[in-house]
Amino acid sequence: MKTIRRLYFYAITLVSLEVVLWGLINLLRTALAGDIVPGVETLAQALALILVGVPIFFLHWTWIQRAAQRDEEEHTATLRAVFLYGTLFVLLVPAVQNALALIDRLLLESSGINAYYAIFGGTQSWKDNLIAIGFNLIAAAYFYYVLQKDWKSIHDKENFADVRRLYRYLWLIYSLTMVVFGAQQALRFDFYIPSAMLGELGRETFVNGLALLVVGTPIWVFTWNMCQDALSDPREQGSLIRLGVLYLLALVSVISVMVSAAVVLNNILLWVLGKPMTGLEFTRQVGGPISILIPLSVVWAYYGHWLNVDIQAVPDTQRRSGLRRFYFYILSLIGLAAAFAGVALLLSVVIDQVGGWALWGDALRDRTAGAIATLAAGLPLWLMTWRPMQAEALAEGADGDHARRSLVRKTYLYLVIFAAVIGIMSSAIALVYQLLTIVLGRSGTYYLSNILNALQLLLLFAGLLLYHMSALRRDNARSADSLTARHADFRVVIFDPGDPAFVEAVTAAIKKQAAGMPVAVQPIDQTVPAEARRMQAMVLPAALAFDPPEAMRLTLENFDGAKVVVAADVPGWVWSGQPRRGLNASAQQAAVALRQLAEGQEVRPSVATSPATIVLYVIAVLFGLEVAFLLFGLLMSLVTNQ
Amino acid sequence: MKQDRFLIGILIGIVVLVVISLGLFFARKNSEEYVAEDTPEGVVHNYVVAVHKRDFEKAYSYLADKQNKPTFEAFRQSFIINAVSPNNVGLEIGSADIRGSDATVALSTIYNASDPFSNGYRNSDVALLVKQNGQWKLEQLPYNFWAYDWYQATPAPAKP
Repeated sequence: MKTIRRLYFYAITLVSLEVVLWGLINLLRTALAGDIVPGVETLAQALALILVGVPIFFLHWTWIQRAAQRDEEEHTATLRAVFLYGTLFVLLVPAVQNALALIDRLLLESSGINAYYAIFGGTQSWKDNLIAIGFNLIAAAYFYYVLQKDWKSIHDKENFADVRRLYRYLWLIYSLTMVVFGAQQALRFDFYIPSAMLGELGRETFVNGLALLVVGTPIWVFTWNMCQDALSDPREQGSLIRLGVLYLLALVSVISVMVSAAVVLNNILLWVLGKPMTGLEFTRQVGGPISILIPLSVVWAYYGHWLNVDIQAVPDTQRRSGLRRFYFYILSLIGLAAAFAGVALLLSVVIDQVGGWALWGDALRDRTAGAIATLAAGLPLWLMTWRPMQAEALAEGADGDHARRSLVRKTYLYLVIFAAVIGIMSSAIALVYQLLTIVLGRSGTYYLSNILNALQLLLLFAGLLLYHMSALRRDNARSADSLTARHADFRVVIFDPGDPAFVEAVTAAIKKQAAGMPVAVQPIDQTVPAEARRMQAMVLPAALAFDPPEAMRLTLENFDGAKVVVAADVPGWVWSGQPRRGLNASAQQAAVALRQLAEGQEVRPSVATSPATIVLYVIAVLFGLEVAFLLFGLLMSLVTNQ
Repeated sequence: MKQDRFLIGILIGIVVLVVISLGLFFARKNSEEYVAEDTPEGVVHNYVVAVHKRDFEKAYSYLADKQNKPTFEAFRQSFIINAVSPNNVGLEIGSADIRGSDATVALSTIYNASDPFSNGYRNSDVALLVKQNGQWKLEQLPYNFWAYDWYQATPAPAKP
């Protein structure tokens, strides 16, 4: 309830602040514009925004500040931190954008180019920009002051530190985007080779790029240094936000580099394959993708380096390998998709040429170049990322076990198998359709071409399926061998409190999780044999763990192995932070813990997944697939549709 | 904190890129000059240069004397109110095809790319010229250099 109320107050405050601020900015812009007659409506609108917005803002903001003074929980709430840092962000970004527009137009006008070509605010005046900068900075200074006061006065700084981290990385992404885009525009201009063309076309590209670099570079360096300096604080070192941003930067840049490289290669191949192109035209064609390739290669190298440094700094070797694996499998999936598409396109060209269904010309040249370029971009990426992952999964020992059992690897393999099965279905349908069309009386060589193309796709998808199925089967076989041995070495004793249902539930759960795990049952009213003390784990019900008989207490105290407690309701005791589970579910949890211990894993309690969460997961996966197909389609269209 | 040499390298790279680009920017400064106007290509060239230099009197002098020719004021106004915007397009002048007192000049109008991946696009077009008093005069050009209502009859006001 408190959170909902908080959300309401902060949301209204932010909206009313923006209403008042932009009302003031528009009011001053209108007043200084000098054209009273056309400004009447604008003036009325600005005044309306201020007159309505000011009381609402003060009412809500005053309540927020009083609540924060009264209540420490309000003062340190995550939502307050989100509001203060979010407000700073939405105030400072317009200030930067207006500074960019102002600098860009000044540079354009001083170069004799129409200011209309500015990347932002081409129709604005210097007064418009200065007013927006001034008002936004004044408001930002106030909220910065409030934030600084909060930092000094609050005791629990964790929420504020988390949000501040996010705020810094948002600035990093924003400013880095400006730098990359600025460098791209400058490089685009460098690759533009002037001809006998009349007009200043293209010159604004460099000036816009220069403005982006002038504004973006200092902000990027300042923000990145701030992020790096913060690493001296141990709480910042394992930050998931930092890791997520580094992954994002490295992956986005490597994908863009791959696409750009494919486009450059496509143009080179078109030239080699005899497309009539002057050197000038060729340079213009490759200039665009090269201007993207160079800055994003630097981003990839730089942030890939820092991602690697951060991953290497993770003390837990399994977690470290897991983080590395995640990066490699994403790249491997992209490389595989591109390589597969390249092979399919190339085979299609070969079929059409051998069958004589397409004559060598512009269309076939474009298809050949596109296919080779896609293959050349995708195949090395797939080999560079898949081979180390495969070698890791084929390794003996604990590292190999973890690699084979990795959720990321399993997801990758099942995703490829899923795509291959769908592909087989689609190409089989296309093949059967074409065959039936001929059987039912249609004829023509065109159908033969379609049949062969459907067949080659069917065979390729089948190959893809078989290869990945064999990898999965090999993983399972090896995992089973090594895990069975581990399970067999892990002996467990179950303490029976005289409840056959308990013993039966735990024994059945252990059999289900690790069939080869030796289990002994020890009634608590009998003397514990010396052998039981040499077992690797003991399992006992919660009631017994909380209040053991004296002999049992001594046994537990002297036992060096794992003591696994099966959660259950115990009169007088309350389990905090644990969902209520029945005996079978609790026994299942205990068995999972035993299996994890036997396999040398960290024991992680599994969280019960609600149906709503499962629905959300399904929606998220479908959305992710749609985005992946969209990106893949973009890659294909960039390479093939020049 | 340890000095980040990679970051310093990137900053040096940015500075080098800006310096090279600035050098190219000034080296490529387009000094559009008038040429001899005894050919149709020369007339098209000079008209476009005059328009870019906003020398409207000179540009107007290249227009053919025909019925419904715009007045000089109407001609100048077309550029001032951006009804004709020659600045957002490049123009490459090709060869002329002269047939008696008429001539066509092949033109390529070049537009900027709308996204970083594209390379812009070009349209093939022509300029129409006519020889009047021994001089080539313009009858029509692509719309970035020519208003659609020039040489059009002004419609008569509707009767009440």
